[in-house]
Amino acid sequence: MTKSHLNTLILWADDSSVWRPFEKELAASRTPYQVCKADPTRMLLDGPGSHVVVADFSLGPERIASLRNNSPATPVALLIGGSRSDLINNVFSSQGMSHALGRNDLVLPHEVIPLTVLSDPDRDPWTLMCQGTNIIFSAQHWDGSMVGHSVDQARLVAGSLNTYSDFENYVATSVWELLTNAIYDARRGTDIELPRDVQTAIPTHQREARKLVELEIRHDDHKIAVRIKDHLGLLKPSMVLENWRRADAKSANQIKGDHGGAGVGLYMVLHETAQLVFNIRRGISTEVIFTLPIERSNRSFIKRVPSIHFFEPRN
Amino acid sequence: MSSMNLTTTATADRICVAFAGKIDENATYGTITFDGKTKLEFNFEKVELINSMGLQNWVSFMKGLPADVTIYFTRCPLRIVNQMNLFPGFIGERKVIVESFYAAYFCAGCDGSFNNLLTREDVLKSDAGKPKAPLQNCPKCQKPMEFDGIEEKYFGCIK
Repeated sequence: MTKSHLNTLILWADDSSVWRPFEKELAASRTPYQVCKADPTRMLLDGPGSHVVVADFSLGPERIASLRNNSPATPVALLIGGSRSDLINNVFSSQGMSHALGRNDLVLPHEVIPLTVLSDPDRDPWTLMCQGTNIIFSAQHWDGSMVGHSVDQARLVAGSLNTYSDFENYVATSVWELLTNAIYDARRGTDIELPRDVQTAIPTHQREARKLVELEIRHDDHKIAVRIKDHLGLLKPSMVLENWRRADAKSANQIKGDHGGAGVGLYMVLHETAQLVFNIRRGISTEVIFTLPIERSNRSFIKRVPSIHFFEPRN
Repeated sequence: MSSMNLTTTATADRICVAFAGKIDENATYGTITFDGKTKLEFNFEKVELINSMGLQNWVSFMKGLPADVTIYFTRCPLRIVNQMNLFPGFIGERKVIVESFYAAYFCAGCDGSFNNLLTREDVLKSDAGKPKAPLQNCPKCQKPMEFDGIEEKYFGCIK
């Protein structure tokens, strides 16, 4: 039985078969949903907050924009195929979305978790992601002194899983970039700013909670899931998107000397993960979660359309 | 301390630099002495990882090399090939000949994943220069393996 305060997902597409891969997982997670072909605006009249629309991008930007204009309080997520550049330029930049769901033939249970959170905002993405998983590595960082060690360990534990050869490099590089972003870039402009060239350990008595960056790596049969969490909560989705947009535009030509490391780093992470979840509690914490499916073939990963979600729960 | 070790040797017409380690913010590349040679080979076989800060240092290093030197990349691991495809600036806005590189193959029969060393000629010899993964046999069962990637994407930097 579903709780009364759950938002019902309205899965909107002209071709309802696109939802089939999701329906099994939504049913398994007891996430309430309805499939609809017609413009769902009238269904949203029940009141704001009771529905979330998941719209197939193939409906066209005009129809989706019309729905958003008619019901601006209703959260909308987009189901999208295509490339990572399409995600950056068509979904997040031009459509102003916070959630993009990769359109894949095979939908794995963890890919539906963000939809469950959209249905029930009281749920925590990482807690749901951890269910049934085993922890394989965790570390606490207050500075850059142990980043290299954690990167090596991440590579080691990822390499012990039965996957393709580049899997461990995807995991290690993403851990590396996200850890350094959390330790150095997230603190920029604050009184605890740490220059990139400072990689020595800070004294124990200076290890205050705001400086803590946590790394946790888990896995189950389907995925490896990694969380990097800072205790500042200063990341803004617009910063991430601007970095991606800039890196995507420049990658076609060249890397300029003025190109921020963070922008290139997050762009690398975007290309080396299958699912990225940003969970930002303003002024409290930023969690960046990424997953990679445990598959035998690299090609399966390359063909997979990634999912990206920005959650900004109220404190 | 540099996170990158360089071993420099010379052949009749080339200076060969073999890298071992990580391309990161701590990697230093020193100065290369050419002794009149105009061909420079970078062997990436033992490069483990690359990060964003390292990438930018690397690009600066590439841009600082003399313009009249022809650069060859050899034994590039998947990691390096992926970076060249993602960031064309990796080659420092100059002509680089990727002579040899690793590519992933998958044997469905053995359920095995292998990285095989290919040459530029291997992938360019068919279909009028359009890059194509050459047939490779599984080292275990000797049956043909599948190229474990997308040819148009992976071979994009092999021109």
